[in-house]
Amino acid sequence: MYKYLIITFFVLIAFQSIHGQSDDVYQDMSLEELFDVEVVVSASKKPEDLFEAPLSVTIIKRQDIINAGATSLPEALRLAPGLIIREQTPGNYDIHIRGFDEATQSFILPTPTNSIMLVMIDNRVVYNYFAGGTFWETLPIDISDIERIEVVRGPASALYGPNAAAGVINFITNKPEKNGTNIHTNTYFGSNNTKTTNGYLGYKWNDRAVFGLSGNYSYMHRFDRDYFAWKDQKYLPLQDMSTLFYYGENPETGQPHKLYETDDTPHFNVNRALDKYGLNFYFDYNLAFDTKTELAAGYQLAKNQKVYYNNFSTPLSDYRSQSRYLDFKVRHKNLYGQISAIDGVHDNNFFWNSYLFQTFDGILEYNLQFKGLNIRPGLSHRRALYSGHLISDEIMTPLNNLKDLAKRRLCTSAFSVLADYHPTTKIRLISGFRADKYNIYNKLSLTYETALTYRFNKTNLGRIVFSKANRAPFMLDSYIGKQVGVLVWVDIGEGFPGLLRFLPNRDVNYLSNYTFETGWRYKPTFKIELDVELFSSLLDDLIEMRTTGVGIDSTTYPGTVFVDYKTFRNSESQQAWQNGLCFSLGYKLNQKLKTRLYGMIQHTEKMIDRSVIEEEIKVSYSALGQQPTRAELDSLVDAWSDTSTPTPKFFGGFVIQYNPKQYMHFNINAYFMSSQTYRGVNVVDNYSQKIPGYLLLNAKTTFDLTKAVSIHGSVRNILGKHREYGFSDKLDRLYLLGFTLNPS
Amino acid sequence: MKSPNFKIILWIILFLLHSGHSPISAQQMDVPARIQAAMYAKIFKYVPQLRDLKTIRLLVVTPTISNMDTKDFIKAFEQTDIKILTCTPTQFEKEIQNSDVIYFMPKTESYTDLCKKYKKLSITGIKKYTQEGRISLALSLVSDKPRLFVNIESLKSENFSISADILRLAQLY
Repeated sequence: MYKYLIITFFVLIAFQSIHGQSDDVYQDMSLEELFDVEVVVSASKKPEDLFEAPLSVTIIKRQDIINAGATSLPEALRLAPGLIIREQTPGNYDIHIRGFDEATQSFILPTPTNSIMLVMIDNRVVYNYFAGGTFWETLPIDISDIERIEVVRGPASALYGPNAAAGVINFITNKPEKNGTNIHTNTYFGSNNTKTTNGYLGYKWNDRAVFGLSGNYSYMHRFDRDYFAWKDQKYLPLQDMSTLFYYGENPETGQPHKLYETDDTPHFNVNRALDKYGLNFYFDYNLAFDTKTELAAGYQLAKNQKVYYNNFSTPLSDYRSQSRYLDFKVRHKNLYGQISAIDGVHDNNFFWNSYLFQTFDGILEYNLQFKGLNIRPGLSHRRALYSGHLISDEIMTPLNNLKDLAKRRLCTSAFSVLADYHPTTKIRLISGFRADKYNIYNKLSLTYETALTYRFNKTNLGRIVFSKANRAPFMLDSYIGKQVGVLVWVDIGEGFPGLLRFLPNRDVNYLSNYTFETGWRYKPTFKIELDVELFSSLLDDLIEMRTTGVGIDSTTYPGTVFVDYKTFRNSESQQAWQNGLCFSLGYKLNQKLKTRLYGMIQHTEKMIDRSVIEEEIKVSYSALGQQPTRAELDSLVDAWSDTSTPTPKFFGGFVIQYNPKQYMHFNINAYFMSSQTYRGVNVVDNYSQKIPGYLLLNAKTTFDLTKAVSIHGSVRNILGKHREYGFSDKLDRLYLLGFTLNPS
Repeated sequence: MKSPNFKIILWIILFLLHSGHSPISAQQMDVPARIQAAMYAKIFKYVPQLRDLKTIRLLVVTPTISNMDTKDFIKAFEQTDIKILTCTPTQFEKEIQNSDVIYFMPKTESYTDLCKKYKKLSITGIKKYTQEGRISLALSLVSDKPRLFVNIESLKSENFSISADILRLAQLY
């Protein structure tokens, strides 16, 4: 089908070249239309008309976020098409671009977790290299810091660096527009102990210097009090919950010990879902007309309960994260340099999941301009240092101080080139290439991206993109400790415990995403704007934690122990294909009423080689001196060959903004998702939980008391209780009241 | 795969750095040249002193005529009915009398007084010059959309005026 699409695209280009209107579409536009052109600096890294952007890009502006009543940046992302946003517990989110939820799942991360999306703040990468992903609660910024959010759907590592395998979210912070003092704040109070406030104070001196200070605070309670227990496979109060750890039996009950009867009982703050604050400082100074410097620094502290690392008891863990960052950029003529550093700690109430981290990034780029051609070569270097129990060779014990554990190092040096070619005003070809060299991986990681756009006329633009992006190595893959082993209950018919031993593996191919997409943008009038993209992606070189060998140990522990050696390795048996369509339709009736409908329909198919699984089952049986029958083998392979994917077939939303009076604003917005089946991979059992499709409906009313002061009331999740993420909490209706101050 | 030869990569970078033409401060002009050209061509129709001219002659003052940003501008204005002329600051006083509107590229702002002397309309893509009163009209971004900035005093001193229909859409200084 794509062959025909490409042929049609080129035939249309040829036809338009013969019968087109004026050479430059902007000449055909009225002044009113030109004032409505949206200019952004995005993939090409220079100002361009958003309508002509070569990649699938959506921009969310701060005012759109405030209008919709979103209380946090992750929640605001529900306003963009192609994004899967699931709230695990109030204020804690799991976010994916287009899908491929299964990319990270393993014993350490028992539920689907996103590691293939890159999140940045002003081009500063915010990424966790321990096991991949973004910890949303650790973002030091909030809504008041934001000018806009740029969402790039599709692989973009060639332009943005490793881990942008599914796309990029770039938060662009605001700069005061007016000389003098600039202030704005946004505050909500509501049911379920919800409090959130954020503010910005800036001062601008005649385009020469800008100073800014911002702060934010959020607090939310859980709606549930119970936890899903992996062993019991149901929701239970904490005191009734068992654990998968083998601690023997309670002699009084004859049952396995409860979580709270264990030696190192973890502490859960049952009520608290999120408690976070952040502080940021900005200073921009123009040294000369064409020399500009930007300095940003900040601090954040967050305590929350969310689903991430395995604690072998329940999907939720109690986290405490603390970090500080420094970011410095300089632009001199066409030279761009950026250095940034972050260091901090991620604490978990199950001690072995805690670690310290430091990351340093440096980028140097130069923009060259030839006739109709821009070339932007760049060099970059990243150095991540982590120390934690799971990546240490020491025996795991809470007595070990994180600071005393060996620092593990992941480094990347990269060379990149971005070429942007405009042979005519209607045709644009953008091509990027990047080569990364990792310190622990003996191969070059190559990524590329090519996009061709053709502007048929002022109302139509067609584009095609082909790209490949990669995931980078993580600390866990590369450095999981020699002593890391978990003694767990294993029911293999013999009734004795099992020991899981983990081994690092650096000789793997890191996950790649190959995507082909075509897109069409259509803006026939001021009132209507349509953006459609059709894509096909192959996710290759998935890394899984698989059994490499098994054995029986009768000496180390009292009794007999079944030992299962596991390591991260490429699952040759598994690839995943995804085909989908993403759209956004905006309709502006007049200045008073604006609407937008957006969504994505997709199908993901996992391809499984049954023979690889058969081999693994045979290895397990042989350790017990047994051999499976054909019927047993088929039955087990069927059970292990799970082709289900948690990515919903359809997700999207709509926004209706109605301003009947200058001082009165109404906003209704919704986010919906079709049903999802979650599979938790934990030790030897697989758990599944089906989450029915749901509609999340929100409404907000705002009254402007003066030019500078507004009050607002909103109801979030009007339709009430539902669950969005597997094995996590239910979410309920939230009533909020608040005010916005904008005196500058 | 064989490891990259970083010496070759370094040579490629040095070659590119040496052979490339450097645009002057491209970051300072946030509205792309093609959009500026189309907008100014339409804005001139709201300037009574230019409206009745058969052909508007626009002089682009630039530090380097061979500069790629200047070439992009010339190419963009060539799509309009406007006649384009270019000069460097040293040629400016000689060329100004053969033009109706002067477009100032970055780093040419110290020559803007000549527009007041010779009563020519000054325009640019840099908001700062208009804020400072050096240039009458500028196109720059506000919340990602192009906006017109007008310095009324500067406009008056150049003996120009602009229709209220446009002033309604502009930010005034």
